Amino acid sequence: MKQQFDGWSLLKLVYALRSLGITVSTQEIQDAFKALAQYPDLPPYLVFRSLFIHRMEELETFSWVWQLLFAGIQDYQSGQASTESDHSSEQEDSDSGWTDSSESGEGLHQGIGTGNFGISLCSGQDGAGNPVTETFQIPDIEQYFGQKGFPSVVDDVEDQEKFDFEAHVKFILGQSGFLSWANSLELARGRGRISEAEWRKFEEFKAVWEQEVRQKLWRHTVNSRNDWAFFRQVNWRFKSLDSFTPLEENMVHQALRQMGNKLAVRPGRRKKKGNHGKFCFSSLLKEKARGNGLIFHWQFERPVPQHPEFIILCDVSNSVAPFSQFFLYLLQRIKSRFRRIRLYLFVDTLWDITNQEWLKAGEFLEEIRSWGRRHSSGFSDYGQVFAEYTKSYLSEASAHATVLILGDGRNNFRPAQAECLKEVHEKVRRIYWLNPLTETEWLARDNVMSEYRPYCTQVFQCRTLDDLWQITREVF
Amino acid sequence: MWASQDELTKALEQEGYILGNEEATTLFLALALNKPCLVEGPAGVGKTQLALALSRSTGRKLIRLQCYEGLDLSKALYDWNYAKQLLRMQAGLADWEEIKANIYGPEFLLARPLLQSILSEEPVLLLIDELDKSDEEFESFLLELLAEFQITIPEVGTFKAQVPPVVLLTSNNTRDLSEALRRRCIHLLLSYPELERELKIIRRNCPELAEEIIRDVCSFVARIRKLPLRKLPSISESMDFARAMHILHQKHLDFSNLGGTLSLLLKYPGDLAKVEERLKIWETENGRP
Repeated sequence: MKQQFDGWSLLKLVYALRSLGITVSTQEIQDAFKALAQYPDLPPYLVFRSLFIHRMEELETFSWVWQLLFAGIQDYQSGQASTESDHSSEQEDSDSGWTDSSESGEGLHQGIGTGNFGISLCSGQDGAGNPVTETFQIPDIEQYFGQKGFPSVVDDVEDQEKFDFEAHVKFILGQSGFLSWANSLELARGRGRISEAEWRKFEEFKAVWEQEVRQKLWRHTVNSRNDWAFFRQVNWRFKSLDSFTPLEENMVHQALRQMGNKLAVRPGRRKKKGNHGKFCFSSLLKEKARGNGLIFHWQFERPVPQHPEFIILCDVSNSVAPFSQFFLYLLQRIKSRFRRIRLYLFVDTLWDITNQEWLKAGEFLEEIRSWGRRHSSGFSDYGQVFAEYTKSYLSEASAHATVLILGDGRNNFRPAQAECLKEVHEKVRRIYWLNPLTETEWLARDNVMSEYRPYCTQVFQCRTLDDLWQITREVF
Repeated sequence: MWASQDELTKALEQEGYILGNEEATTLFLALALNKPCLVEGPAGVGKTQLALALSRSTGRKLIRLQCYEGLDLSKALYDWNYAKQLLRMQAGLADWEEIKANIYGPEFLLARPLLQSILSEEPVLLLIDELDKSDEEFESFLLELLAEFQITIPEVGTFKAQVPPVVLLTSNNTRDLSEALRRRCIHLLLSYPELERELKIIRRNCPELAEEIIRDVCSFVARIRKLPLRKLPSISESMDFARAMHILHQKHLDFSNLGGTLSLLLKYPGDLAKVEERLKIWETENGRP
């Protein structure tokens, strides 16, 4: 007989999901109870997941919440006793309810291991028996919480936006020696000392290990804060764009692809007459007034997709790279539909990539790296870039153009040359600046945002997919 | 219909469709709660096949609506038989009031797939295929059907299903579907199968193939699916590839001897080049999947 899932646990689950941006309706809760009452043998984990989750991007958030709330309650998840014998269960027995979620990880990803989202650290799985991954000694993560240098959890609820989860993750990865170990393996791979298969195992191991660090850190944070609002960053929409795992990156690419397709066909103000669309009474009257013999002729019209003119300047220096790659991916999708769009990349020099063939295939990362090595110092120089733009390309822009700049505004103490941006501002209709840093970081000593800001129509903070989505809806 | 998800899995297996445990539970819940099921996943993972197998195993008649850009009410839901209406008016056998009431009757109504599924007296399975290909407005037409299993035609009234249809919607995720539609459905994500399930699928569908070549092909395809390709090989493509190996009398998969056959798995030149490059590395490592 399965353990009963009580109402209080369900309320906790629903509250947590709603706090994280997943809507759960009363009807869905009723359906869940109905299903559990009618089919008591069904694992509650699967029942709730099936009824509460409506898009694949939310699956991971659901699993995280479930694990945090009900870790250790084996029956809840799969109705089967866990048979873990791995080192992680030795460290923390309460993980057992999480790792036996699906017998084989069926569903979301190619089935490797026992977890929902990739391989397991269990012995006998892919990660074990591999000479490369065995060289890393997995420490007890909790020993790093509160250690000297550990970024503390902020007490002020209003400051929860500033809570940088990833800084905590990086601290633990650094302290555990994982980053040095990973670097040494990367070096060995570059020298051809590690085979392709071993490297693949390492990447799988890395994904799982980072996942484990995140899970334990979240549990620690939620327990110490008793507040789900901090947890919002787990939701892919609110997660910083530079912290996606490779699996999540694919998901984000897909979301951006959909976003791009949607933006590219947004109806404009212009309307076109045709055989379909909305009935147009004024056209009908006009036709009748012409007196061409027609007594009654239906007239239809439909909005034509808008074709705005965009000029996009995108910083691809290392500090902005994790953000610009997603932005470029979105632009690549939009560009395939918009005719009047010009794309420039820059670090300290400008590169017009509008007509590059590789952009169409979306394989730009390697091209950008190679260009960066050959043509830039690696340090952003916005002043020089804007000067180059006004001198060489501004004449091509029309007065209707919208300029989009993606960059963090960190100018490495070089002159801002704000007069060049002013010149652009006078020529074009709008300038929008998308900055991946938080607003307080715009005031840093090497940041020149304050000098550029007067010439921008609007400056947006663009750190997450949600930010990007809202900005693009507003701008495009 | 079925008392448990295991029974559902077995029934589908008898129809040649192998479904994982979690997916079976989700589908079972959709059927048990009488809710539409939105099946999402990349192309070639068996979304449409699931509907076909379910239709066979339940004995329900399949009504299929293939979505495309520009699909509208008159092609999906209902239309009036204008020619017949004109003929009726020209017949002039009654007064105008009578004709008016008459020409908007069931006789002049052309039922399209959605209305057919509602009006049908026998149990049906409605498959709304590739919904993401249709326009956003079309989704709004579906909301009433998905929530209430009814359709309202302004001139006539509301038609409610006598026997609620089983509704399956499929999407390849090329466009994000609206929140309203998602909330009315149970979401089922079909992904590429894990190794063991793919082995089972190929064994079942290609009984003529030797075990060794099936295992080699599945391991090889699983490796390819981990590469950053534009289009990953689907299940049907891996079946074609396995059959090709059989036709070419290959006892096992040899990386050095795949020339020409890779195009069965990969459909873009860029992907082919990437895999060929990777094959050279794999070949130097061990030469086998």
